[in-house]
Amino acid sequence: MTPQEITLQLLRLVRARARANRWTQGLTDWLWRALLLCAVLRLWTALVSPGLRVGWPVYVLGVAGLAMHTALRLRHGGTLGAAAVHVDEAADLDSEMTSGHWFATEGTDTAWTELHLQRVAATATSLSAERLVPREMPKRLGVVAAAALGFVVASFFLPSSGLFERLAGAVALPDVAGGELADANPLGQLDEAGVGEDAEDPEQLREEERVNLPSLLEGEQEGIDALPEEGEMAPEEGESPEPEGSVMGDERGSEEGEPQGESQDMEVENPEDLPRSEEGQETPPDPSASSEQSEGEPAEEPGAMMPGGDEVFLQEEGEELDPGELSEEEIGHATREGGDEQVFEEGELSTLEVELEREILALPPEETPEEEEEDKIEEITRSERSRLETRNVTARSEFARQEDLHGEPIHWRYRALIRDYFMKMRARDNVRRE
Amino acid sequence: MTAPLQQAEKPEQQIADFQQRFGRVRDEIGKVIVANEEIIEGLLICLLANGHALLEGVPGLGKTKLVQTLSDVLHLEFSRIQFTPDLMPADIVGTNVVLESADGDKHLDFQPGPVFANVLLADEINRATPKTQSALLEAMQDHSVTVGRTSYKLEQPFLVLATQNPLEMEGTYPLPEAQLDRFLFKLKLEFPDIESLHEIIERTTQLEEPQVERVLDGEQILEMRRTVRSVPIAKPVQDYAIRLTLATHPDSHHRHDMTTRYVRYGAGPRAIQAIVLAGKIRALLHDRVHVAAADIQAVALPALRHRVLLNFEGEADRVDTDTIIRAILESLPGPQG
Repeated sequence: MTPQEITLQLLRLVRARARANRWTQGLTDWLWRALLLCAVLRLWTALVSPGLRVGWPVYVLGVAGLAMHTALRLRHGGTLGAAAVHVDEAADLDSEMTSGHWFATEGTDTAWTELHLQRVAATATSLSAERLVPREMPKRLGVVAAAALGFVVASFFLPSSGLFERLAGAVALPDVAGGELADANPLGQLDEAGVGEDAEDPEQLREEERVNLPSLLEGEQEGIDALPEEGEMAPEEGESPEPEGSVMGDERGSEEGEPQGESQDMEVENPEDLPRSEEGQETPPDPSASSEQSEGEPAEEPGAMMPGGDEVFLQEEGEELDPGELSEEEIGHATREGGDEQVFEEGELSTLEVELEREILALPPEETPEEEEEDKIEEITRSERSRLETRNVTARSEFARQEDLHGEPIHWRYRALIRDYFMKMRARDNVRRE
Repeated sequence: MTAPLQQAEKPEQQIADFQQRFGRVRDEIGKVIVANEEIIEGLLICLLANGHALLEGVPGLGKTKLVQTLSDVLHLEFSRIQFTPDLMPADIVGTNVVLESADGDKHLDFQPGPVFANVLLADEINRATPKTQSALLEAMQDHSVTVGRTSYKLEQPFLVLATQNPLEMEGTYPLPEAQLDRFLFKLKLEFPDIESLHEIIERTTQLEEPQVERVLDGEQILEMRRTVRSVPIAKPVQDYAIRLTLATHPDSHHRHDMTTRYVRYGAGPRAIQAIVLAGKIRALLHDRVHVAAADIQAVALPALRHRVLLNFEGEADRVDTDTIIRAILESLPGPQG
């Protein structure tokens, strides 16, 4: 074999091994990305968009796209010149192999290049491609294992455990509950309660209800608050009812308010109980109480209706349960057991129109002539005091002159530059000084 | 004295002879000059690469002594010019004078100046006016001198060794860029350490000062130059030298961040020639028949430092060109296969 052939043979070996390492690494990267993609697609279809079924073409397209990306990445590199550079770096050869490869392939044939090629061939004989490019384990093998595990869990274990259905139901429930709550139109409930029985005109009755709605709701709330005292299930006095937002699962309530919140959540989780909770709201309102409270806090009252109704429902079931003693699950079971299996469908969205009473603003008390006189005297005194405290202030023009005379004429940004300039003008002296 | 090299000799023999001669010259100079091995090697590289050297250092570091010793070691004609503000170009290159023959005829005769020598020491070159400095341009680049309408070839080898003091800047004329570019290397002499000072004192205060032998003549130097030029360089390594030089240009896409900020103009093609030739010599000294990236890196500083022109910001921030070149060397990728 000629020296050129020996050199090129080593370089080809090195290139092949380097290419194998690179492909192994690339395939590993492709594998974990493909597994991760499949797992994410599976979870996405199960949780975010259960209705959208992702078929096998999507998986195939994704995996093929990743494979193409990997192939494009691996397409570059892998020349003999690059292998020569790698050998130089790995064996600390001072560009010997790089020069040798170039002389062997493109260089002119002189005594000097021949000598160099002989030397390179001798060096190549002493080198081992296995040592220069050892087999590398894929760096992301752990990631591949994790991605494979994720894929298996997302594809086989989670579907069989039924977790997807539960999670999907949890994601879908707020819509159902929202629809049911929208059905719980206070006006409609008040209609059912016969609040406007005496009204001749239904439209007029509805208008009166709108006007008196806050007071009616207040009265109803008071009636609801009064009921638990008999069954020893009412919240303590002074407890403010949960706002309407808490019905949707808001858990911001205080500790004492938690049982109410739990019962609301329970009601949301058991839609079949909703009609019975409406029954619980049929307690006739106390007109006197409503008129008293309507002046105080009208805005909070509509939200307080649902928790109150819930409490009434538990009381009417005859199960004397203390919410403080029961856990959330127990309360939920207690409610579920009393209900029948019913199928619900969302009704039309209803709106709540509220007309607020005019606010009475307190006017400032009118001053008497004596007070006005006192104020004037006080005003004079203040004026005198202020005159005493005044002092001469320098005019702006004088300030400007002061700045011109005593201010720094060179901006701080340029000081170092100008100093350096003058330092360089007398570099010898400056160097001596330094 | 070593026998002249024959071109028919094998490269191995040429390399061995080259290393032997180089080593002998270095050792002889080392008898007089303490330390400064890099400076001595740089001077010899300039000699063998057919270039010139600019020595910079504070007074008293032995710049002139170094050049005198070199000329003593080499069997060459040596001349010295002390550059002063009133020095004229004719004082360097020579002039035509009117001579009268024995029979009374008058004719112009060219009286060659001190530039007609093998080794020319231009002491404190920056003290002469630019006009006088420019008198050396043709001699340094083309190895010829033109007086009137006549051009005179300078004898080979021709080496200009110029010195300048970086401190005494008053009343000086900094060398123009064209003049600086003619120097293959700019070598900076550092102040010697304590041990070197001890050695200097011992050598120079004894009854007898060390003497040097002439170990190399002009013909041998020319053969060594031919040996240098026989060393092949692979294109990837040459490409590395080119990229290194281009990295000093603020407009090049190989530029470094420091170049963009501090450099007004980078090194030219002469710098690449200097780097490659000096790299070949260094390769021979390290018993290689190819130029390595390490050779390029080793000679980059003296070959580039005087060819990189700083902009105003660089001058104001007192950035050293060595700093820029080192930054480039650190960031520039090596030869690509």
